[in-house]
Amino acid sequence: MNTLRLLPLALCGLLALSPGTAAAQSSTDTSLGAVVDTRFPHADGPAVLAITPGGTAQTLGLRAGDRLLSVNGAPLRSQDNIATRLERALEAGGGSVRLEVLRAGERLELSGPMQAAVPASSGCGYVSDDDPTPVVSDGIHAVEITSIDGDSTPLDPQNRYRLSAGEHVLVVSEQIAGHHFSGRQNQLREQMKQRTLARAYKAIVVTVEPGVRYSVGARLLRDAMDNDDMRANAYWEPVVFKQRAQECR
Amino acid sequence: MNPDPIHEQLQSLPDLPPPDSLWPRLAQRQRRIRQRQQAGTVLAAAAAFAGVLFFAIPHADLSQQPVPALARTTPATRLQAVDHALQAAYARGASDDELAPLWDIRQQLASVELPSPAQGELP
Repeated sequence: MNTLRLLPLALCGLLALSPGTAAAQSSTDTSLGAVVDTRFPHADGPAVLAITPGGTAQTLGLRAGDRLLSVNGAPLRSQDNIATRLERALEAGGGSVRLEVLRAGERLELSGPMQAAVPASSGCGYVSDDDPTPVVSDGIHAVEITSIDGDSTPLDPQNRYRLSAGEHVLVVSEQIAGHHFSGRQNQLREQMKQRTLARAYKAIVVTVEPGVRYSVGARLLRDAMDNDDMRANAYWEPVVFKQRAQECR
Repeated sequence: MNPDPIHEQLQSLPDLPPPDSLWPRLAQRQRRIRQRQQAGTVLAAAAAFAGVLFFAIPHADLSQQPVPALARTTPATRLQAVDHALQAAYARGASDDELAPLWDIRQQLASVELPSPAQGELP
């Protein structure tokens, strides 16, 4: 079947989905080139969780584990709405950034120019969790896309999601029919889902080309369905099982 | 039960020979039936052959149509996309459970494609 293209996450693995209509583009935090926990106020400022390779934060010498005391003079300690404050502070820098950080109990100041933004790709494409899956021929089953690029998808079922061209991160939950499992496997699967909740979902990076529709599904891994595999949620993986041309405006 | 007198009378009538014109008419009728059967067989075979051709011959695959490639797609941009998604999720206050799949894929990407320790996340 020449239209079927399975793209396992483990190999090329990275099919991320980008939001078009449903998911929003990320904040300007990305331009800092770091992942920062902006959810809750903290007396020492928000924690830096990861540094994006090649980004501004890496150039400045910011490290995972640092805490951001202020950005371009805007304090972030014990503040609400940290994400918004951080975004505005970065925008106010006018192309440069000055960070006051706390590292191992010591205050440091890091400053330098912001990385130039990568121009966005032109055009758009689609991702869908609503296309017929080749269950019999290829063992591909249904999924539900729960988030795109970090933003939740609408609760109402969507035929497709329009995304800008480029790489996008999809989080999906498997919707494999129960009759594909034995009674014991179903029991372990349900227990695992109740225990892990959204941790049972899996992410895939999809490179969206302009004018292409990508069908996303779950591949049931028949060789990974023993009790330990079921408990570990190792019995499936997200895949793009088909891509076809579809005009996108 | 008494036999029906009319039925008995009909049974007693002599068998009359059919007219000579009957046999050519019967033969013509049988030829028409055979011709219709043969035509139906040919049509069914043609339909079956067409069906086989439909599935056997490769169709124009839309997925094979050239699409413009994204020149800037690299392992680093994939990791950037994941970090982008992570930051958006933190910005909206996502739960640890929701964040876990994104951290999982980031770990996969970082370990496979970016062996340098510079991109390390929190231990």
